[in-house]
Amino acid sequence: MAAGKRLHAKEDGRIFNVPDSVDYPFLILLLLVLTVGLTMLYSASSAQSLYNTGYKTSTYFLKRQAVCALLGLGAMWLLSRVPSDFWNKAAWPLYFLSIGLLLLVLLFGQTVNGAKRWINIGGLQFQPSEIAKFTMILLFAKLTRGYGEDSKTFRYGVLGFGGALMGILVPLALERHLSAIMLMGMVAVVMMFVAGTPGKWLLMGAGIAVAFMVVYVSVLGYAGDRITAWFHPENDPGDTGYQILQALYAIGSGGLFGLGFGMSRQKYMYLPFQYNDYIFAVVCEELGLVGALAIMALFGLMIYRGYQIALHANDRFSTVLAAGLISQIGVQTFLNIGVVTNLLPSTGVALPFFSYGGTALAVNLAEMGIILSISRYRNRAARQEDFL
Amino acid sequence: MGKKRQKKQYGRLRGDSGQQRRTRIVAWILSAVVFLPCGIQLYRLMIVQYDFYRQKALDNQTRTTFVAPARGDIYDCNMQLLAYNEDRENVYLNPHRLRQFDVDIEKMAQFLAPLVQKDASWIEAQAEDTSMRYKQIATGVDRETAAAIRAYIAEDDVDGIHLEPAVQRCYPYGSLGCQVLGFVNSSNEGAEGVEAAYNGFLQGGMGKTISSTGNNETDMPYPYEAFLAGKQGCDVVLTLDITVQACLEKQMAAAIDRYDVQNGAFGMVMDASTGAILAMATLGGYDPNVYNQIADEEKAAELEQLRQAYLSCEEGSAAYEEGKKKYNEELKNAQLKQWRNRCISDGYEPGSTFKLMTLAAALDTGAVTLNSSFHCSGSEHIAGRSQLLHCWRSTGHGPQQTPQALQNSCNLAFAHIALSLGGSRFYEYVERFGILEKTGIDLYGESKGVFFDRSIVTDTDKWGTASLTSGSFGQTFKLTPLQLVRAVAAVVNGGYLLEPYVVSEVLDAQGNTVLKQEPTVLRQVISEETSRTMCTLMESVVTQGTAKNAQVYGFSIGGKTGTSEKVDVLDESGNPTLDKIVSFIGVAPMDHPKYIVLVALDTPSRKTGLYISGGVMAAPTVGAVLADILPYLGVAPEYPREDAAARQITVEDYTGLTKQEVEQKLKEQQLTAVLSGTAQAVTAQIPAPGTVISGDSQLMLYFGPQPDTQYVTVPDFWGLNHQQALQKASAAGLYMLPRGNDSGAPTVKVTMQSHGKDTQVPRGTVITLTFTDTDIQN
Repeated sequence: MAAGKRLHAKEDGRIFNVPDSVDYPFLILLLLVLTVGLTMLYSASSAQSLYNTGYKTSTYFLKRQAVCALLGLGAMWLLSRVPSDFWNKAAWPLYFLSIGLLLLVLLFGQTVNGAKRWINIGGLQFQPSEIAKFTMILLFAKLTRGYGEDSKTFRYGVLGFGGALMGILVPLALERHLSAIMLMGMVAVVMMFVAGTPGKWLLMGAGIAVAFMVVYVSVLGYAGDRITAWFHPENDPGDTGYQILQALYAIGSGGLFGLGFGMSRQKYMYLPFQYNDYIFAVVCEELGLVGALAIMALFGLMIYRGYQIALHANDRFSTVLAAGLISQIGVQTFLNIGVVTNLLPSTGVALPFFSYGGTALAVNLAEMGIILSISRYRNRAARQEDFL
Repeated sequence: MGKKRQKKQYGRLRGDSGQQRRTRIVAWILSAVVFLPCGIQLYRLMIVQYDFYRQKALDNQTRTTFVAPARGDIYDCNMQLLAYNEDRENVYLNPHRLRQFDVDIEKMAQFLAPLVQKDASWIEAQAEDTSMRYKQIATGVDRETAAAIRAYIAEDDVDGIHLEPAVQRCYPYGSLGCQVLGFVNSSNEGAEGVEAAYNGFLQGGMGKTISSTGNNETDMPYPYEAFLAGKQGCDVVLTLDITVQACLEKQMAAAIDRYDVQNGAFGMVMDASTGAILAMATLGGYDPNVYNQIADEEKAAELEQLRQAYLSCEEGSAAYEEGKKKYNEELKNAQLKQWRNRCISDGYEPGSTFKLMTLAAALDTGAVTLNSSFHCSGSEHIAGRSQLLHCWRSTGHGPQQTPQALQNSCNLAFAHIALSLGGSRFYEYVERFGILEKTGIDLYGESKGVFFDRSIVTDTDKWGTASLTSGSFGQTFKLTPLQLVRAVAAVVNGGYLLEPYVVSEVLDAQGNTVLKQEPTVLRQVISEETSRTMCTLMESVVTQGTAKNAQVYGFSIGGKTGTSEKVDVLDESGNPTLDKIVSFIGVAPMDHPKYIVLVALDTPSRKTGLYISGGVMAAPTVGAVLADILPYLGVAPEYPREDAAARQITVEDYTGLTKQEVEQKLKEQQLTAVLSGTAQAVTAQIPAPGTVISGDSQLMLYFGPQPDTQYVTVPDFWGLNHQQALQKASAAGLYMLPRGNDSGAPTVKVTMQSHGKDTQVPRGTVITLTFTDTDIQN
């Protein structure tokens, strides 16, 4: 309790007055994932950069991603020094801000690849849905803290969280942003489970979500083909099954040790989205099963360490916030690898820290900054017994 | 209040074991459990199914490009190039790429449409069809078009249009011999003619290049390339002589024009001793360079009308679809018609030309002799034949012996010849002359005509004699022109039935002979003696009989005329149209028969006022062909009569000779000349050296400055006899070259002149006049 008191005293302090160092194992794992991710992005995007852009250079995508990584690392450093109380206060305003941004997208958004998800502010293109993911997690953490044991009731545990979730999902549905809906839905379920919403309601909710998804998919039409292609990609190799088949060719031809770094063949415009959604296929092709498992292990360790930080956070809000943020990384990693290996139907979820996409990378790093900040306020006693 | 505070307080506590537990569960699930199926799946894909996917990926990443070897050339018998390849380019679209780079499809289509001669809307449809990696939109565009497309790609930075080298088959002689040559279709395979029949030789073996390429067709930095060399196509040498072919087609075209022939013409020239085809023509042909276009202007205009008619209807409407279907059907029929080689594919009633075979059989078996006599009263009841048998001359030919029967082409006499021969021997000879079988020529699409069943002609008790007697003069059955020519070749060449052929040799790329066609004798049909007799008789048909118009100055010609009614072609009311095919089969030279020429004109118009018969129309055409080709083929002319009028001389070069030398030379050559001027030597002459003129013409030789070219008016020679024409020509300052009938009979008149009357020509121009015996009917 003494340690708690000391921490409490410092918590009232200013942003740059931090009580303790961040959790280095998590930071090191994160930087490892980021480094490997950027390296693989360079390899995977080089052919696309060389041949399919006007730049005639192999580093076009790498440079842009690296700039965002630096911005993200800056944000991470900054946020690692912001106490979680700040987020507790900012939860509601940020929530409404992100809904506002989502609505702005619907009104003034830019259409890329047939989907209206981007917004242009001061020449900077970004996806408000990335912000929305964060604010939803933030609000869930705040709600968890407020509800306490009431999370186990239908009124708070289901209607409360559900209502907050819908505020984000409805504009996303209007954007037809299926992948973000899935991702947020799953993160929401994980967070509600952590908060204490009874399992039966979560199962029921999942059932309703699946039913809703079926309707949604049949209304949208285009997504239905993805399901068919999932089971039988070889039936339509020219069109709907093309992407999955090309990914399977890349993965399968990697073998145990892969073709070697930079030696992917499939990245030469066979595999679509080889530098974002399907980057893991290039990883498998170049680094083989050994490399792929190593990278998965790296992700697993980092995620596990993230939960450890959550478990040893100083308060319930921080616990749920850190758990939510790391769950988002975990769910995204699983969804991406699952899709690329054809375990799951194609959804369009990026691999964190690997896939090309500046907003996502910067936001993910910033979020990791929050986890690092939470790790500064960890319970020292618990650290001894649990962390090592 | 208290409750709320308490709740807040609770929130700050860490001790909620439930939450800790649940967080740990989630931690294990998301950091380890979910990766388990992923890892298993990766193991399955990368280890268990490694070989499968490695092969798939390899197939995926390598391109096998088939390298079509250069197709062989086609030459005529003098190694004149008849078909060769020219480098062109094909144009493709890559719909995926066009979409990926947001190319303005409409603008692109508008630009490409005129260059590749397609509708812009069609190009748009191709560009949007992403079911295929590539869509070909043009075949064989020339270099300028390809350069224009390249410039457009570079200028507008369009991604998704590809150009690929392709070869275009070229036929320098256009439609000449088109049905024999055939053409190469869009998949570079021979269709029709020699191109089809010898496709295997011409095409060669496909070459293969396997290389690793990116999906954007750029090479990957990992070189993997294998090359399997193709085999270049062989060259094919034809027996066809393009000069002979040109002479044949020229004279046939002239005949079509002159006699207003409605339904085209067919004809061929064959080497009687080998079976080699020197020329084979079906007029109403096409240009193999653009084989899909309808060459007949009238038909093309008619088709265009049909096309416009349906295009004016609303697209998709019933009228539109129906019109389109009709247009396509008509177009296809017109194409098939112009591609068709009637000489080998279509049967026709040979008419009187078949009498040669009947007579040869009868003489060979001894059923008749040269002294057998017949009487023709114009019509006769024949036992076993219900219909009264008419001879073509209703007044009859009176008493005749065998030679006159042939010269007169008397149907009644031949009915009796067939009856003496008997049905079974007739049928046996028909069979031996190859009428019941295909000739085996080395071209696709040969048919064999339609002949009676054996019993119809042999069992006269049951079936009567109608078929036997009609068959004897070539009616009520059909054979192909090639079957007829081959049978006549056997009649004149000593009795040997040959297998005709159009390809003499196949040479590989190094010039080695791969295949050499030797003359093939299938059997001897008649004895050499009978053959010699037949030659004499055939010559008499030209000198004394129905084929006088086939005579050629200086050459001994034999042959037989034929006129057949198309009894199976009905007019709108269902009656036979009685359209006629007139034909003549000529042989020369008769002392050693070498060349056989058949010309058949399908349906000459009644409007010309000429009597429609082989003797009037086909015989002079064949005569003109022979007059053209015999000197070319090196057959030495012989002049049976000593008068100058019958002689044709080739004018020599006299320039530089003195007066004395000139006179000496003229004396030797039995020529006369008008000498003018006072210079030492000849400075100019009319006509020019090398000109062929009549032997009784006068030359103009100038000793001194060459006079200015004077123009004179060509007079009308129509209806003049030889003497009158010569006088008129020299009076006008022209030279005359007679062609055609040279018998000197009073009924032989000019029927055609090479330069139209009232045209202005330089003094000394040679006017070719065609003489025809206007009295001859069949």
